[in-house]
Amino acid sequence: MIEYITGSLLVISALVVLIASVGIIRFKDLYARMHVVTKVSSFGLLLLLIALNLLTLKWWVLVESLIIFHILIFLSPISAHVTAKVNLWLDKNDLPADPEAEESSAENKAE
Amino acid sequence: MFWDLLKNTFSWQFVRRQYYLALLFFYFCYKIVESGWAVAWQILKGSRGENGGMLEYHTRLQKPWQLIILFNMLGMTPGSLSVDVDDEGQTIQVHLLNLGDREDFMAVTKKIESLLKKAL
Amino acid sequence: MEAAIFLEYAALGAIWIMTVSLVFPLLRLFKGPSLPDRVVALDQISVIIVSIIICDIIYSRNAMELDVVLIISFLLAISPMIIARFLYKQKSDND
Repeated sequence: MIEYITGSLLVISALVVLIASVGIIRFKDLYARMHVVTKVSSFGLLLLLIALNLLTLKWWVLVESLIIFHILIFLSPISAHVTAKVNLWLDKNDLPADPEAEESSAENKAE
Repeated sequence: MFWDLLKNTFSWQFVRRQYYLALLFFYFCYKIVESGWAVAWQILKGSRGENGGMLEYHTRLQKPWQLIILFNMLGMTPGSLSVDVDDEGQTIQVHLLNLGDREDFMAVTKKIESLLKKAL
Repeated sequence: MEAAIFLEYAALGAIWIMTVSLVFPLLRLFKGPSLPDRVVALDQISVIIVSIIICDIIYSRNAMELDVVLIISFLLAISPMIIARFLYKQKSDND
């Protein structure tokens, strides 16, 4: 019985990850894409970790998956915040966000 | 000896604080599931993320730990993403996926703030 | 259908769906107009890789691979900060 529940959870979380990557290609704004990465992907990983714990039922698997879950909860908003802040800073100072483009334009000016 | 130590250092405030911390954790887990489902539904409806915008939220929290945890939790509640905080730690800049549900965001954040004040 | 065979087929199907979903962040990685867009796409790619490894744990019944997931999720969390720091420092050096 537990195998059927685990298999359906696996397929549901795979569909959630597929929805998240469709959202990555469809959304226009950078901040909207960051919403997708921080929320939908961690929801899919949460479902996968629940399925793994239901299947194995060992204590060290529980401990390791709790560590992974807490990393996802507390560090992915921080990394999203850092990326968003740098993007905001680049927009405010009106700098091009691609260093290669700026370097090539500088070379063109020098020539 | 163990019971004496427990009797001397026991206080109801500590127990209440732990209770609110556990309540906060479970509320947060529920919010993660709900926000993941909500954003996935947004994608399935065919939204392209064009009606988003910045918003400023004023907090009345004083301790730095409370501010850090509020800042992290704003990143996981449905439809909001914390971008920046000013030097005094009083104004948080938030990006909303839909500017229409501003009232909803305010209600959720007020509840988180009141739980945080009781917990820490 | 027997339970173990159903679980095997479900894990294989999940791995195939995730492999197909790896295409869209790669498109965003090639197309993205700015560097922060590419950082977000790389973040999504590493999340998909973590999910594929967890599906492989369930398929092969070998839970020791969970250590790999731990290390990759640490790298997933730390790498955007390093790239953002690099961008900030490069821009302020130019001024």
